Amino acid sequence: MPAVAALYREELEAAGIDVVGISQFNTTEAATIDFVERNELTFPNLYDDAALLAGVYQVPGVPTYVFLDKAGRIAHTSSGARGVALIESVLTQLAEE
Amino acid sequence: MIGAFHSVGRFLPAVLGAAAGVLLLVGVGCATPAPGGGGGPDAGYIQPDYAATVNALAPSRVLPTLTPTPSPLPPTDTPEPTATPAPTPTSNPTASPLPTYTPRPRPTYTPRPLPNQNQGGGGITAAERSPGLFFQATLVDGSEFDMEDTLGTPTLLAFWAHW
Repeated sequence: MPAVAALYREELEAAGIDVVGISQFNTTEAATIDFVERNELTFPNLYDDAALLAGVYQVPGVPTYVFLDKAGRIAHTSSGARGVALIESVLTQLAEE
Repeated sequence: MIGAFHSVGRFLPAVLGAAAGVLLLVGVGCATPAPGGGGGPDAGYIQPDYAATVNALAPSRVLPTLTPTPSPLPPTDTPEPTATPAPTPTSNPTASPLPTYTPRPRPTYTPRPLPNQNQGGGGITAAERSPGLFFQATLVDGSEFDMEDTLGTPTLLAFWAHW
């Protein structure tokens, strides 16, 4: 997540691409807030301890990245540590559509 | 007493002869057929009753006891067909559960859109994508978030955990 946070600050925010962090499986909401502050996650983050959104988007585990197009439809899903390059390329392609 | 016995023994042959004669006469009278009951009182009265009872009992008591005996025989034959189909159906259901294993994993894999790395992350076209999923939530900083506010721009949903 620190890499995603850096990518958001440097490129995505300026390009008008939204990033929403969904924290789940944490012990407490306080632990989530502490992690957000320590790693400077400036994009919106929400706490989903019940993993409701993970069930809606069929997320198998963490980390998982769900890419939505301009209409809010699921364009791609990526699970595991794939690196920032994949995230950047997919979002750039979706922005050009 | 001895004198009495002697007098009886003296007349015994005559008594026996008379008794034999009476028995002979009665036997001849019973042996003669009764022509419509108009003959002797014993001959025409007893014989029709025997014949009637024998004829009346013969069909009612003998035949009903004989007809049930053939009926138990077919039931003894019917259990045999019930026993023969029993092994074949039991063997077929044992083979039927096999198709239930194959369709289970299919629905879980098909709906998930997987990324295609060869196309730079673009796997499916916009027309093939599932309808939008919108939700509202409260962020960790206390502000409200609405997914509809992200319409018009690509959005990345990053599912993460702090560990």
